[in-house]
Amino acid sequence: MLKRRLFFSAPSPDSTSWQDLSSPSFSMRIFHALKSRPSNSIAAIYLLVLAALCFSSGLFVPYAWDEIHFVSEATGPSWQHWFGIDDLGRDLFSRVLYGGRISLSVGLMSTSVSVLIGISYGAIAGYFGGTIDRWMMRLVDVLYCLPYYFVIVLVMVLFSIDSLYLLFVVLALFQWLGMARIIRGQVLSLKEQEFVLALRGMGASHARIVFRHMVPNTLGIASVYATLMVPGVMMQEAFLSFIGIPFTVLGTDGVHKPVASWGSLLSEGARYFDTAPWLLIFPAFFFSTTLLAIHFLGDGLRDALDPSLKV
Amino acid sequence: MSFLIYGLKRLVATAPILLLVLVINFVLLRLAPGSPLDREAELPHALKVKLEAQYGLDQPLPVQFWIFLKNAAQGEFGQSYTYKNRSVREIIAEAFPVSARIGLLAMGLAVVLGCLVGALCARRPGGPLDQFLRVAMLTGKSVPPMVLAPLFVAIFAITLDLLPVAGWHGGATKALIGPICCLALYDVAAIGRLMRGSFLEVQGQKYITALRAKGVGEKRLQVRHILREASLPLVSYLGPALSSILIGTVIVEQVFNIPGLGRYLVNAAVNRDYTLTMGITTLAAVLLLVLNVFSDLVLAWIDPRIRLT
Repeated sequence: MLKRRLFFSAPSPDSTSWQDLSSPSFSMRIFHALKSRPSNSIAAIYLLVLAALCFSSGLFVPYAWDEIHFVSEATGPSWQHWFGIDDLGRDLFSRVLYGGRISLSVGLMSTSVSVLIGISYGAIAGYFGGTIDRWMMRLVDVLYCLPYYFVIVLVMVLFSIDSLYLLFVVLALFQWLGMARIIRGQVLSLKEQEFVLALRGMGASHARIVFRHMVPNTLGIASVYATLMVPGVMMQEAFLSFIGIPFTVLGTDGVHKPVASWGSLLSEGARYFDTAPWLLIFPAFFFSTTLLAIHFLGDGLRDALDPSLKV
Repeated sequence: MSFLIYGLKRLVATAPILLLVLVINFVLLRLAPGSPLDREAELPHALKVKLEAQYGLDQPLPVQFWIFLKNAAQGEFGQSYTYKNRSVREIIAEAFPVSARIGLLAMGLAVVLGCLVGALCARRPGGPLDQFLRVAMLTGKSVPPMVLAPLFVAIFAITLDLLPVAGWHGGATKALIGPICCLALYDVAAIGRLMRGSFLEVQGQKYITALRAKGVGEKRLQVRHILREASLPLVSYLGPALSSILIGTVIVEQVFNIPGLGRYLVNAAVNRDYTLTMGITTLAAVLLLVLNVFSDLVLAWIDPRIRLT
């Protein structure tokens, strides 16, 4: 095979990689990273406030997100409905907050699942090396060759996967490959260090070394790439909503009902943009600013935790 | 010559992967509930049997797959189930050039602008221009095409009345501008960020200082030495990115009402149009694999240190 240069190449074993700078604790370094640049703290605070609002929206919004007011047409923002109402007479303010809850959950949950798969897979492949590594990584190479947007669409459409929880898993199944490669590179260099020999000497099992010692040491880089993965997942959710895959949750009455997500609000908004522009503008504002904030945060974390990529 | 042999070798080596991808798609499609012959009212039994025989659905699955493979090797995918009297080949031949044209033009624009932005940023890292462009690029990556496209239409087509609102108009330049700009923005941002890092890395290397000391002109240095080395990650990025133009154009095609391939895929999958879905996914898989091999070849051509083995 040809040596392919990844644009996020893992640091080479001989370079001073981030795990050698072990003085302050991991969480302290994240904290300092956020403090060092005002843009990072603004992004973090914005995300926290927005997430808090979205996840607690049920407590304070005056209308339920799916409550229908009988109106003849969509109307713009007013004192009664801050963001206006859509063509079915639903309050957009509540819908945007509720949609944020769904979209943020999709982003966070899918990323968590794929980080879980990617870290375990990469760590095992890197730690054991040799034939195991070769075959495990060959599988990753093969999966990289799947036209994965097509497969996602096929899986989603063909099996009418409209449950939100399955969406988490399906998106995650196609996200972990890059993470596995990065973690494997990290572990390859980590396992040559002397503390691994010491652990073996003290009789630590392979499983213990991999999951108690290798994995925690890769969390810095993993957190950077996990952060950068979230916007991509949220974009995919929006894309799938746009091509007409409605996501549902099981309601309290036992009936599957379609949910509002930022993706579905965006595609509705895009459809009615010429007559009711507010339907696109409000969700688009929150969607884009959230993505922007996450991008900022990811960049900040990368600069702080991964000096090998600092430029 | 070695390039040719190496390229052929790699293509042959990818054949099993292609086969695997096709098997996965085929199995997925057949596992899914429903059949292309399902209608709202149940078809009469005799008619259904006749139709199944006509489309070869009465054969065992492995036989069906073998027939599919034999036909696909000749570029034949059979009749579409949903679009009457049209073969899959016709549909692809008609719609693919449209998608490809938009996608390629957008990617071309993105490469040019992205390299430009990356180079501007790398001139003085941390400077005001760099700061501004970095924020601009992050913003570009944060605005989805379904927001961008309607805004673009509202500003340039409706308010300023410069461009047509939608439609293909036989591929007229004016009709292409909107879709291409909306499609390119994300890639401009992605390529710009990639190239910024790449330029910075190459600029700092010692051989560049050595070349400067030797008296190589600045223009020659930038183009022949820095751009050449710095474009390696871009080539790796372009392989997969180019193959995703098939599906990446779906949103833009829908907003601008362009007869591309994207909308067929979703429709075909929803209607269980076996032949059309297999045709489009096969095209996508072949495209991805060939472009991967091609981008490896280009990498080796740019940087002779990368050995072809």
